[in-house]
Amino acid sequence: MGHFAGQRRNVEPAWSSRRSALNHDWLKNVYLVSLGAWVNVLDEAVEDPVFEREFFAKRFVMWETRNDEAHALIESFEDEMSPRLLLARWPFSPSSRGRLGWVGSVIHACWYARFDVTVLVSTARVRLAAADGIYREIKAAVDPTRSSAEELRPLRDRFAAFATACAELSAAISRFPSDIRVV
Amino acid sequence: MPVEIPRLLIIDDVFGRTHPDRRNEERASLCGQMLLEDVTRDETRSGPGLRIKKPVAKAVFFRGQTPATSVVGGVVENDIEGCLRVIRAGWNGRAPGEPPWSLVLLDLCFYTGRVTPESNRELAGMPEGREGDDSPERYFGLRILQAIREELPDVPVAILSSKQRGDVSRQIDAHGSLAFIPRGEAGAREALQECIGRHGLIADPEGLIVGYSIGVLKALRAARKAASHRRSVLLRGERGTGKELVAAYIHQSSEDPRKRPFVVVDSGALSPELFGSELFGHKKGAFTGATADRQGRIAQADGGDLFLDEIGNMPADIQAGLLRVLQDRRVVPVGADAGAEVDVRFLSATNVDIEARAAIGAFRQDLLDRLRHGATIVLPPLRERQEDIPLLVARFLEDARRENPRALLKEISGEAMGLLTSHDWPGNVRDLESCVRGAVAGNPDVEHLYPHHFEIPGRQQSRGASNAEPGLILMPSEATAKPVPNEADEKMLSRLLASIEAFDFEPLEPKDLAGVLPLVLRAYSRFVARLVAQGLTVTRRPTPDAPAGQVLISPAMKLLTGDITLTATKAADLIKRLLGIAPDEIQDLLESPVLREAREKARGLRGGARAATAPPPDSQ
Repeated sequence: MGHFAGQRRNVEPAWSSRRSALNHDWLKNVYLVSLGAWVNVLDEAVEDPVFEREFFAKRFVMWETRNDEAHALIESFEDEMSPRLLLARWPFSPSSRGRLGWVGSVIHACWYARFDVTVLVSTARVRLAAADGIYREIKAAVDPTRSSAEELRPLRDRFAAFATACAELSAAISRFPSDIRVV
Repeated sequence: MPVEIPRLLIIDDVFGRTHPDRRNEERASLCGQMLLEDVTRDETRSGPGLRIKKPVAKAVFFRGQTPATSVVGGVVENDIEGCLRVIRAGWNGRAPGEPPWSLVLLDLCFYTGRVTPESNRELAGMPEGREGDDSPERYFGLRILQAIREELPDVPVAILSSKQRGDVSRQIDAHGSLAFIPRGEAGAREALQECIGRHGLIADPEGLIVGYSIGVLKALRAARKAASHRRSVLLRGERGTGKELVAAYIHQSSEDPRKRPFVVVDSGALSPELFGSELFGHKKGAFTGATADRQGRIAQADGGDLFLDEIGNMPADIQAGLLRVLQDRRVVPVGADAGAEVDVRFLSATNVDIEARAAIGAFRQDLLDRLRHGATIVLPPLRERQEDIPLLVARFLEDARRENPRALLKEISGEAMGLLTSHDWPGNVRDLESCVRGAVAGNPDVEHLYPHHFEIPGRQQSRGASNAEPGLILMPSEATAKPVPNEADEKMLSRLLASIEAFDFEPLEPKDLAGVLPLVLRAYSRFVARLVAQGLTVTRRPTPDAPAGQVLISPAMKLLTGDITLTATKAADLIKRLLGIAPDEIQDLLESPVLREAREKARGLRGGARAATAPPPDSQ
C-alpha cells in the first residue's frame, strides 16, 4: 500500500482507492486530457513545442505501467469487493468464520448474480484489450526517435481512436461499485 | 470592432495550481484539449508556450485553496472566501469595458492536507487528502456552488469534473448548477462548447448587438434559448433599446437562418384600415383599391420569423385575426374564403405595460398569452447599462466614419465620453446613436469631439425622466427593472388634460374640421372607458372566490370623482353614463373582465336598464 491514494483513502476499501487513483486521478485527469490535447496538436489547432517534444516519450508511454494496473484492478474486483469479506470483520468473531463459510458462499453467489459481476468484469476486460490493442499498434508504427507532431500526423486517426477507447475503458471502470454492497 | 470571446473561471485544485519552477502541465493539457486560452497570468515560463489558434474561450484558473503553490511539507486547505473573492472580481467588481464571467466551472473533489513526497510524486503539489474529501456529500465543489447561489445568484455556474454525475445529481441541481460536463469522457470539448453557448453570458460574436453589461448578456442568452424552438417570443423594453435587433439575433441564432425569411412589421406605423391587408394579405376586389391579390406579411414569413413591433398599438379586430392565425396556424387573406397553412414564429415587441392593457381590455389576454408562449425577454434601458455606452459610442463612430468618408477621423474626448455616459438617454440606444452620428456628420473638419459637439436630446431633463411620447397616457411600465415613479404619471396626465383644455381650434379651417367629431367622440369615449377601467382595477379587493380581486364600483367612482359621499346607486348611474357616451366605439373594451363585471353590478344596483344604451349626457 505504498501508493498515496491508498494512504489518503484508508476508510474505504483498498480496491476503491486503487480504482479512484487509476481512473479518476490518472486516466481522466491526466491521460485522456493529454490525448485530447495531442489530437488537437495533430489537427494543427494547438501549438505547444514543450508538449509536442515530450508527449510520445513521456506521456503516451505511461500506458505501459497503467495497463498492468488496470488489468490487476479488473481481475481483483471479485475477490476484493465481494460482500463475503464482511464476514471476516466485526461483529463476526474469528471463531464463527468456519461455521459461516457456507453463508459467505451464498452471499457471494447472490451478489455475483444481482450486480452482474460477469458483465462488469468482461466489459472492462474487452475495453482494456481494445485500448491496449490500438496502443500496441501505434507504438509499433512509431520510431521513438521520430516522434514529433509533424512525423506522427499520419497516425492522427489512430490516436483519436485510442483516446476514444481509453474513454470507453474509463466508463467501464466507472460502472464498478465503489463500496462493498450487501445483497 | 472585435468582440471578446467568452471568459471562463475554472476553479479546480489540480488545474488551478501554480508551480514555483515550471508550468502546470495538466492545465496546459486541459487547455490544449478544450481549446482554451489560459489568461491566468500566474506562471512564468521561458521559451515558446502553448498557443491555441482558435480558442473557444479564455480561461482564468483558480485553485480554490491556499496556498496557490504547494510543496512537499506544506499543508493545503480549501478557501471558500478566496473563491468568492475571485468570482466577485470578475462579476460586479470588474474593470470598465471588461465582460463578466461568461461561465464559472467548478470541480467537485478538492484534496486537502499535507503534501508528502509520495503524493507530490504523482502530481506536483498534490496533498495526500483527508477523510471526507472524496465523499460526494462533502465535496468542496458543492460548498462553493451553494455559496455562489447565496451571494451571486445570477452568476452562471456549471460543474466540470471527472467524478460521477449520479453521486451528486440532486445536490448540484438543487443548488443551481446549469450543467454537468464530464471531464475525461469522449466529447467533453463539445459538451463544454455547448454549455457555453446555452448557459453562458456571451457577447454577440457578429457584433449585431453591442455590450458586455450583465443585463444585455442575459437578454442574449434568453434569445439563444428562444432560438432553439419555434414558439412565439415577446420582447419587452423601452423604445430604442434594440428589440428589433434582438429579434434579428434570435433569427440568426436559429437553425438555417439563411433559408428562412425574416419579415418586419411595425404595428405603430400602419393605419388601422391597411393593417389587416398588410398582415394577412388580400384578394383582388376585397376593398376599393385592391386591384390584385396581395400576399400578406405573415405569408411572406412562412417557414421563418415575423417581427411585430409595437403590438400595443394593434387594433382590436387585427388582434382577433392574429389570434386565429396563432391558434389555427392558417392565414386567411382579407376577402378570401379559405386560407393557407403557415409555419411562422412570431417575435413581437412592446414598450408599454401590455399586461395592464390586457387587464383593462385594450389588448386581448388570450393573444398575449400566445405571443409570449415561448419566452419573454426583457431588454434593459440604456441608463441601466451605462458601462456599454463607450462600446456603443465606438461602434457608432465606426459606422459614422463609413458613412462620412470625407470627415476627419474622430476621437472622443474624455469629457465628452463622461457626458455621454452620465446622461439618462430616455430614448435609449437609438438616441445615443443619433447623437453620435450627428456629432460626426455635423463636424466634418474636427478631429476631437468635445461636449459642445454633441446635441444631447432633452439635456435639461432631470434624471429618471419618463420615456413616453409627450401627450400620450403613460401606463405603469414593467419593461424597466425600476417602476416609473407615480409623480411622473400624474404630471403626464395633468399635461394631457391641460393640453386638451387649452387646445386652440382657432387656426383650423373647415377642411380640418370635416368629419372630426366622430373621431373626437371615439377618442374621448375610449379614454373615459380606460380611465374607468383603471379606477376599477386599482380598487379591486382580493377575496377567496376572486383572488385577482373583486370589482367594486363604489370605491372606484369615489376615487375617480374625489367625492367620498358618493352612494352606491349614484356610482352605478355614473358608470352607466360614462360607458354610454359612445358605446359602439368601446365594444372591445367592454369585453374586458373588469368592465364587464362593473356593468353587471351597475345593472344589478339599478335594476334592469342596459348601460350600453343609456342616452349620452346632453349637458356635456
